Formats: sequence, structure tokens, C-alpha cells
Amino acid sequence: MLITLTFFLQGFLSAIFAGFLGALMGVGGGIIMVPILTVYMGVPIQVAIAASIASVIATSNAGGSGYLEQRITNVKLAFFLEVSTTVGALAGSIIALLLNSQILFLLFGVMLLYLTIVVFRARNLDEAKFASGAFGKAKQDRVTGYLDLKGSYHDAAEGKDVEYIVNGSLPGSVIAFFAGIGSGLLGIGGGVFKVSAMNKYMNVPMKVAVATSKFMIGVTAAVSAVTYFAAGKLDFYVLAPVALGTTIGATMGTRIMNRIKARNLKLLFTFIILYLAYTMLAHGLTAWGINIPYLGGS
Amino acid sequence: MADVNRALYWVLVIGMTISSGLFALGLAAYAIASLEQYSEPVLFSATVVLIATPVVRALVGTIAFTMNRQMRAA
Repeated sequence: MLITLTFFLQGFLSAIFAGFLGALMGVGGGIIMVPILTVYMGVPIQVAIAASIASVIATSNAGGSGYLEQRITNVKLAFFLEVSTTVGALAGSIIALLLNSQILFLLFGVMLLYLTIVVFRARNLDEAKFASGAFGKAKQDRVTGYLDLKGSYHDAAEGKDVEYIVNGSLPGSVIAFFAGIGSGLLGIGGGVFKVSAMNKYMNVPMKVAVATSKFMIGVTAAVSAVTYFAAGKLDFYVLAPVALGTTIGATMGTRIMNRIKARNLKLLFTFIILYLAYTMLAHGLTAWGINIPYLGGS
Repeated sequence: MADVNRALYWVLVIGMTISSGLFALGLAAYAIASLEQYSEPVLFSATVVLIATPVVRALVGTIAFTMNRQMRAA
């Protein structure tokens, strides 16, 4: 694909925005990049998805290293959940061959709508747990106790160190598994599922969930990126400005995430999930001839 | 005792720096007519480094946890 200076600037600047937002939310930013590449820059959908997936790795490398430096990421928890996610990604690839993908878009859309409600209703949960110290008083389950999953981080917005004990390994693993299926099937990073699972069901503070998800999505995206790379769908001239932009954006995002109140992060996160749920439902409904407009749709 | 956080941080930073540098170099070569032929191989290398980085960090994490005798996490 031939690129011009305008094309480069459009891709680069929008990728900075996507990388920045992705670092704040613990997601890859594909839900922003794919519509921009297809609708505004005229890139074919498969090439856009391939570039977006590869750029998720760039944002994970930049965001993940930033949060590791600030010691917010829980590395052991990330390794634990990566097992379920990877198995899910493999299952997703197999399911994609057997089932109608439109039905799966609908299923994921409904699941995301449910998560939107869950996250919105829990928007004040972190502050309440900070006040009561509940993050550090939870009882570990057998698995998290065996793996000794717990940690602490300095919350810059609250101005104090927060200790937490991880539990809920079963619901966390199940949702991480579905995040993997979503990644293998639909070409998304699955960060929205992972952040929701850790924060709501595993007693992990929102900021640790964001940092840990950011760290994890690189591996999931690498699996999908290899597939696109092997299929010859990765256009280096589309990927280059996007990867550079998301790297810069994610680096900027990691510098400010810890200074934002968890409640405000969750409100922004709710908006992102709701948008993704709408996109998936709209995509799924096209199978029945129902055409609802959405960004990135044909 | 290996500092797992530190080891993984450096893997990601080195991978990010090399791939970003190669992407910038590849685009610069594309913009200069006499160097355009070098653009694609450089961008190809940047993409390989980019995709390999999380794979390497998973390996390094496993090794670091093993060195710390935290086999359950690895």
C-alpha cells in the first residue's frame, strides 16, 4: 500500500489517541483504530484488523513496561490468567471454523452489555473498599492461596499504599477464557473482559486490573498477529505509523493513569464497553438483515 | 534472587525500543527515494521484533519465577 504524508499523519495521530486511551483502560485500542483505519483512511477491513492487532502488542509493550516500572502490575496474576486466555484463544480459533460468527458476535454483545451494567453498578466499589480496607481483608480461595496471589501498590490519586488479596480464581479464569475466545474469534485483545473479571470478581483494585490486563494482552495479540502475518495480511506501511503512535500514546497514558480516581476510570471504561457491545450487536444483527449503523461496518 | 518485575521491564523496553527504532528507520528509508528498496526489509524486521517481544517476556518470566523457586506461578 502506498502511503502519503497525510496518511502517515492520520494513522500516527489517531494511534496516539488510541494508545493513550488503551493505557488508561487496560485495553488494546483496536476498537478505536479499526474504525478510523477503515472509515476515515480507506484501509481494507482485514488489513485494518491485522494492523490493529499488531499495534496491540506495541501498546502492551509500552504500557506494560510503564506499569511494571511503577510496580502496579501483578505479574503472578497475569501468568495465572494467561493460561485460561491462551486455551480460550485456541478454542476460539476452532469454534470459528464450526459456528456462525454472526451468532457469536451477538453472544459477545450480550455478554458485554451485562458487563457494562456490572461495571457501572460497581463504579464506587474501589473507593468503598479503600475506605474499609476490604481489598486487604479478603480471604484467598484454595487456588489463589496456593499461588499466593496478593500484592500492593501506591495509589497516587488516593495518596496511599493499597494492599489487596486475590480471590475468585474460578470466575476470573472462566471470564479470562472467554476473553481468549473473543480474541481468537473476533480479533480483539480481550482487555475489557480481563479488567472486569479482575476488578469485580477477583478483589483486584481497578488500577492493578488495568495494569495487569495491559501486560497480558500482548501475548494474546501476538498469537493472532502471527496468524495474520503468515496469511500476508500485515501491511508494514499501515502498521508502522500505527505502531509508533500507539507506543507514544500508551507511554503517555501510563504516566497519568495512577493519578485518576478509580471511579472516573470506571465511568470511562463503561462507555468503552458499551460502545464495543453496540458494535458487536450491530455486526451480529446484519445476519438477519437488520442494519444498524456502526463505525467500521460496511 | 531475580527481580521478576525488573527483568520483564527490560525485556519490554528493549523490544519496544528496537521495534520502534526500526519502524522509524523503515519509514525514513521509504521517504528517501534512493533508500526506498531498504524500507520493506527494515519494516519486516521491526514487525518480527514487535511480535517476538511478548513471547520473549513470557519465556523470561517463566525462567525468572523458576530461578526464584516459584514454580507454581511459572
